[in-house]
Amino acid sequence: MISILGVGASRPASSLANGIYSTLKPEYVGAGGNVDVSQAIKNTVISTTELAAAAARDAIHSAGIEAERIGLILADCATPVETIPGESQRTANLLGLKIPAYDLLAGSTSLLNALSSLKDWKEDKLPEYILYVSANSPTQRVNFNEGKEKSFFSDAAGALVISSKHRGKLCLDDVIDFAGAPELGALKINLFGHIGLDLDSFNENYKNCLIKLDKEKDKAPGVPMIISDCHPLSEENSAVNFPDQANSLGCGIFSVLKEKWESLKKK
Amino acid sequence: MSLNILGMGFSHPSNFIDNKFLEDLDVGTNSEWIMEKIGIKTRVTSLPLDYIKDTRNQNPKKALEVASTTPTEMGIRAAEMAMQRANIKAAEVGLLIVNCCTPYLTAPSEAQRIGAELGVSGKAYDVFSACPAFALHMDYLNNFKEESLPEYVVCISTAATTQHVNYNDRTDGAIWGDGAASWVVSTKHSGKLKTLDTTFTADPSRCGAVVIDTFGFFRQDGRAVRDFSVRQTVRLVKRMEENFQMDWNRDVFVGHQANRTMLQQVTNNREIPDSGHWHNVTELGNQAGAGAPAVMAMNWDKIQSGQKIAVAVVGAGLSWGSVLFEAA
Repeated sequence: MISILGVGASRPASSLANGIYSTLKPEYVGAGGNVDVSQAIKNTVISTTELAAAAARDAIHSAGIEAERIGLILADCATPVETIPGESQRTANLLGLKIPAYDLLAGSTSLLNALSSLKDWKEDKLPEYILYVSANSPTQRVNFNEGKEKSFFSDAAGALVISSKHRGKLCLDDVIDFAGAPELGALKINLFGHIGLDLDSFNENYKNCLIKLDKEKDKAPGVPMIISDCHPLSEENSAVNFPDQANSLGCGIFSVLKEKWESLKKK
Repeated sequence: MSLNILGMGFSHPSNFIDNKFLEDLDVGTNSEWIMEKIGIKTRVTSLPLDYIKDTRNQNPKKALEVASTTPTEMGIRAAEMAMQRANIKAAEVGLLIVNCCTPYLTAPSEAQRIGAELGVSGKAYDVFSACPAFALHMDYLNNFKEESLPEYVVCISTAATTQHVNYNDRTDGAIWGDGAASWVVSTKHSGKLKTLDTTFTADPSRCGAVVIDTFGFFRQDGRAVRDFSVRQTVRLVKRMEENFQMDWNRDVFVGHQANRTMLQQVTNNREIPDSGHWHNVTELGNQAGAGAPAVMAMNWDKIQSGQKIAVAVVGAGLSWGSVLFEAA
């Protein structure tokens, strides 16, 4: 059984506006609005990988282990500063770890995708501890001069320490897989361009996911559902971090988990 | 459980950059130097040759606009070939995993976009470590319980690295080629190849040695990467020799298609005859993660029953891995 032993989260220290935490220098955003995204990475207060490493250290501390005991790093990043190497390898380098590391990329569902995969691995293939890291800086792809995107995205990173050998605070019961081609038009990041959001498609996707989740929830009544973005189900059965932190492409769930970590109780 | 390969495919553009073309760019290289150091005669590119000559690709953003094909299109064509050889349809694919070094979009992932184009209804996501993708994908799939893998898995590695090459650099321009490879895997059905062994690992402390800047060019610490590549490939091959009965008069070695000169060092070290060494780097250039599987796909009909095929791949990360196959 896959268990989560520790959770970490990080975000830039300051915000551009309510809930919009950005790796970008405020003066850079104010001067030109990030109209040329290629200049963004030269105007950051912290890099995406540094955010990832901070979240990773937080998770490792939360799990109460030494980093050297980690046997595998998996990561995802939809806003990489380099297309090679992968974010997992850049993060492992900052952590000083010489271990297998590779990226599993599935956009905002990357975490669930990774958990879904790990639960299906053979027991002897799972290292004692696995570090999963998610880091995104969507504000580096936002045109702050126009469009709804400037109010929608925030930069953040999150991490989990995962084990099948040691029991943690959360054990993975199941991952509800939503196979099938995603709505590709909802959110796009062109390599050289700004992030593009079709809010209607995005909301439609989210609604469909929530409907499916809601049906599955009936199979295990009373199981709290944690949703990282802006569509709460009901207060007693959901936890959100919006509007304190805008959409960070799947990293929001880590800050929600972290906030709730100490209060999570066994059933 | 055995991971069986049912079909393999490849795809690459049709523009060839030969050494004379590179000489004429007047960046301090010549054919003799290229053949001695890299051993590549021609390399395939999605870029128009006039564009390279006129601009040296100083603006990689422009490269995407003028390219004749994309990593996505090459990946799709390679997958279609692999599925045709495996005699399956995209709708039967339960899992699609992709490695792409040069994506045109960083969201959605390459796999999600290729999956949508192909009509794959199963899961699709990227499993990424650049050049050693063939070993990574096979080792990754080898981690799964047999019952949890779908009937058919399609793997793709694709890249259009020439679109991120600075053609004012005398070395980088001589190395890279564009291309894609794909392979169909099943644990439920036997195929032409059975997997005997897989490995994958990394040393991320050296991840800065091979880089493609998102908004810029490929760059690498050439000497360090060359030494690492030869050393690790020799180790991987030696390990397969020690653990399995290899007969280089019957069996085949396929290395990472980075540099013919480096591959020659490996085959000399392991005493592998030319007949036991398959490669395509001399004609197609370094196709990143597609290189080694494309070699196998191009030799698909030459694979003989009982033959072992030892694949050893190295690259960015730094990461490396191996796959040993036995032909049915």
